[in-house]
Amino acid sequence: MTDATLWRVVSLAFGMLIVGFAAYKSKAKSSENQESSKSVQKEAYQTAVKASVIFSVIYMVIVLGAAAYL
Amino acid sequence: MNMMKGVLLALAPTTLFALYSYRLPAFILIAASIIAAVAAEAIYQKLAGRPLKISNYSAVVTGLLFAFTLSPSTPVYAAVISVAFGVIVGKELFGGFARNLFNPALLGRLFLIFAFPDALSPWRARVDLTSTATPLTDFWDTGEMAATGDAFLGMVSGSLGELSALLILAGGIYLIYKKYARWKIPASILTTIAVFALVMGHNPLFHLFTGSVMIGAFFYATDPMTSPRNSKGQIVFGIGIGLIIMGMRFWGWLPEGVAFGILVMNIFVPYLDSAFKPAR
Repeated sequence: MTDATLWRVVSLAFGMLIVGFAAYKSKAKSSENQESSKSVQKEAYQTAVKASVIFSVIYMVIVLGAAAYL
Repeated sequence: MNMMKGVLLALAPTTLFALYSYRLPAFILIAASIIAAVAAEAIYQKLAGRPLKISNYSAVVTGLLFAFTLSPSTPVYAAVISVAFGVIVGKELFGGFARNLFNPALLGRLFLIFAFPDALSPWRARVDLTSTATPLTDFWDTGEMAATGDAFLGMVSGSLGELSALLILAGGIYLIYKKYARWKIPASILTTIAVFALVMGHNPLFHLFTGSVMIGAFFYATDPMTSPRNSKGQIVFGIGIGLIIMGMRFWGWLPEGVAFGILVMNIFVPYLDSAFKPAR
């Protein structure tokens, strides 16, 4: 495993965690008024996964592009 | 026969040709990718307390389609880690089969070139496995276009699943005939690429038969879980993929943009589904 691999994988994992956590919190807060907390949690989890994986694709594409031009 | 078995049957000619062309390295990469995809799915489902669903063959298809994006030089460990990433992040985190937003095989491929930048090089010639350029790397470096007949028949080098446009086309026609794939998606991708090439003054057959265009159009983009459900959405989806592929080929940072094109358009599938929802 090269330094580039390590840096890229760690930054990707870190970014995905932050985006997922922020999306979860934001969705949970916006659905606070709903009655069932279980369904709110489930919905927030799905939103977090979606945001996190979309971030991963965009991040990987941007890093690859930047690496090619820099 | 279920759909996944049908897809495997449609991929059989391309698989056999990859094994014939790249021999043992192809066998090892295909076997390792399939085993890793199935193992990643099974382990995740077990840890998540969900019922095991590996018998639906979707992980086998993912593993095979992922292996098709590899060069015969790809290290096995890089392939195993990347396909596991694709299956877990691209499919299982979303809840498993039929709930995913992205094509897991292509997400794995994107992760491979992201995390292991040298994993695809050097490209190898068919049969004797000497280092060589692919038609697209030649086009990228020198602007020279390979003979389209060679590319159509599979007499050029490339990733395991992109060698013979003819065999991919045969499998794709079978998929469409059996209604496992929506014909409007490959039709709109291929038409967009052909028109784009003509506008740029290039031979459209070169752009259609080289790289992963054919396998991308028939097998990756038509994944029913990650493509639009209605006709207009499918056409817009295909045009978007075609434009990104050709944009990457002419102005992008890599010779090939099929994986990027499909993954980027996957993001828009929920919006295309709601924008072109049929009126009741």
